[in-house]
Amino acid sequence: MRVELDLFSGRPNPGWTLTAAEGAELEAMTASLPIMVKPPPRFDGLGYRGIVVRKPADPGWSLVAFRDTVRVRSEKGSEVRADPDAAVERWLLRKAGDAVDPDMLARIGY
Amino acid sequence: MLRVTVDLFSGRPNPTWIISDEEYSEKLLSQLSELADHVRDPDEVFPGLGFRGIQIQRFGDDAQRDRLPMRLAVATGRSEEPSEIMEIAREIIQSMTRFNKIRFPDHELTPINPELQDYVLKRFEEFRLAHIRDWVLGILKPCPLRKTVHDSECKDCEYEESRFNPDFWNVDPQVRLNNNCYNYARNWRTDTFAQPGRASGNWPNPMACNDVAGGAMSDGLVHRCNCLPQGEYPRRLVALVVDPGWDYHWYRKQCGGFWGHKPGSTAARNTDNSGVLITDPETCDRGGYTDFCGYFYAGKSVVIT
Repeated sequence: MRVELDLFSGRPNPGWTLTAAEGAELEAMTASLPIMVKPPPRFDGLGYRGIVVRKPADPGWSLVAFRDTVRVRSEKGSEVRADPDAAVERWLLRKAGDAVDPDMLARIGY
Repeated sequence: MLRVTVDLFSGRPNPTWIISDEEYSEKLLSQLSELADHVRDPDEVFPGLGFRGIQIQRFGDDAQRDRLPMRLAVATGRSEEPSEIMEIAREIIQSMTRFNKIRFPDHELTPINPELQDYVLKRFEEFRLAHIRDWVLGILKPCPLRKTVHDSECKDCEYEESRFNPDFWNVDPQVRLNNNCYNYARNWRTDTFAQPGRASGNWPNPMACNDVAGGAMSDGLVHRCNCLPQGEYPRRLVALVVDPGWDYHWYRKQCGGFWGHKPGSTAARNTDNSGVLITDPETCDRGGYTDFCGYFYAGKSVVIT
């Protein structure tokens, strides 16, 4: 899986990859979260917009972890799950390694 | 029989039901067949938030005698919609509770009941009024594909404004992902997430006004009021802002008195971070992009990669 910190408008966003095992862990973690019936609208303006995960082999699938929500879009449709502790966002940031430096973490509120 | 889905929600399942009344189905298809030029492909609907249209799927292989495809969408707002389409869309929504006997698993989260019908009708009416407003503005202020305007800030300069056309950037996910604000400002889809100065060997640059502007000017942009000759047609008026130390962002003047932009790999739009139409890039809500660097012209000889 390919991961991207969706932060910039002009310059390329920082990115990193997940192993197959990490991808499976991410999907299991996400599946355990409750589905939101009335999710808030997604912020997609200038600034930090969340962490986007994509599967190169499945262009129709994407996951966006942003604060307390995790949005998953697939061929079956889209759903939003509640993640009050931002556990998925934090987990993805822990896998970023050198791709995201401390200044950037501070920039997005970590 | 027809399956109807109102494309409305982001998280919960969309309202969906089966029209089991054959007479009503036939009448609906007959009406839509008369308006086939205004029927859209459901896969080409703009993926924004809110009411995005009504999708209709036909069941049965004896339904191809008319001009309609097996899957279609109406009231999507992708083009000027005649009032007849809006009336049909409203009638479909008003009929939803007649057809709530055939149950779907999705009805657990989105039950077809009068409360949902009221909500959908409300969202539809908002969409319809916004559509009429945009259409009326289009009549009052007709925008050709491209028009030359005199720059009121300069003595003799002219530039070209284009009709706002976000679909070009938004409909294909690969186009949306691989083109950024610099591509949008220059109006050149390179699919390379273009960077100021990269084509001319002056990239990367620190994220400050002078450095980003320097990279862009080495690509061929010029400061506003350094008039470009007619030979540079089409000449765009663009604006540069910077999130100091982090990033830059560009806007492009559009026909109709507003500015368009494309934040990174997100959708192209003409609204700011507060959802307000951008009439002035100096004062619009730009989040952390606090430094306004100035205006530039980008003529046809500007090369970006």
